[in-house]
Amino acid sequence: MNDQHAVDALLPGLAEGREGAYAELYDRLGRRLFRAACGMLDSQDEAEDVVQEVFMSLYRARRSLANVRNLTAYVFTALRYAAIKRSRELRARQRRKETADAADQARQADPVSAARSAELEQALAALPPAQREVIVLKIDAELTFAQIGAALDISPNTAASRYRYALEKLRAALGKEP
Amino acid sequence: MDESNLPNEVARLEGLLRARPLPEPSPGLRDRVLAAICREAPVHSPVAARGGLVRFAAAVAALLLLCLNLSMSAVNRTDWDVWGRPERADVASQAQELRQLLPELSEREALRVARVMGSGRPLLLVPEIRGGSAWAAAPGSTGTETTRRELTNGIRTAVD
Repeated sequence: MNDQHAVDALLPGLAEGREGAYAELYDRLGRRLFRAACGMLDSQDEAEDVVQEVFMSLYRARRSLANVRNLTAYVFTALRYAAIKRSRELRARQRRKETADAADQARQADPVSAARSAELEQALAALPPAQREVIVLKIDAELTFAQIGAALDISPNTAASRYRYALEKLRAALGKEP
Repeated sequence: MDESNLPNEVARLEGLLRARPLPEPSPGLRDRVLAAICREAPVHSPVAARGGLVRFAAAVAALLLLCLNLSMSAVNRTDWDVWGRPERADVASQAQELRQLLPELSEREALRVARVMGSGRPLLLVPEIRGGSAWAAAPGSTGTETTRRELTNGIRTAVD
């Protein structure tokens, strides 16, 4: 699931600007980056733009990649910065539109789970950004606490504590047993 | 922190979060990302590499043509003995002899004739047309043909 060594092995090729290295990096992290960006921006279109922006910034800074030890954390840090920048530039348009659309479609297939999923998404979107961010990185982006800590510039223990606290707050916001 | 340390209720909530449907990136995003990187780095693309080679070859060819043109111009506009002409002293003395035989020859024309004769090449001697000279007379005039005949005879004499 978290093939960090395989990702780190791409560093020399990325530093040299090889297209194949960037293609493989996308194949390994692209989906997770996209899902994390969706969690931060609540817009698939904006999330795709941010993912592209991350790869562009990665290429432009390729000569400094030799100093990177954890490429996965580095890339998600770049994603975080790009998402923060994008969210500041844009207003919260369509903030829950795609979430509601997805919930509507899911409700047709399974009313109970779809309803619960919609509640989860709404409760998740209502969390403070810092707490929502750590849940998105842990669950949607499938990062370890060490990688989350590197991306957020906090210790792994702090990342884990923040994650647990966010889950408890989410549970309280739902107001009932899951 | 070990995730198994989560309380049961929180762990179940975590399970629900993992199970919720997540969006997928559009199929074209991969190509779009890689294309954007290629645009940033045109020198790395095979097409750009071929274009660079063509441009380099064209530049070398243009430089060679320029050097060839310059060298030809330099040869035509200088008195360098690039074709192995006789020494200037020999040519000058031969020109002087010609002028003694043909006083109407100008110094410039005598020198030119002396060089042509000394080159050993089968060149056709064509008198230089200058304003006011006998050669400026209309063709067919007696004076022009007479002068031409005398010049041709004079040149034959000098050669012999």
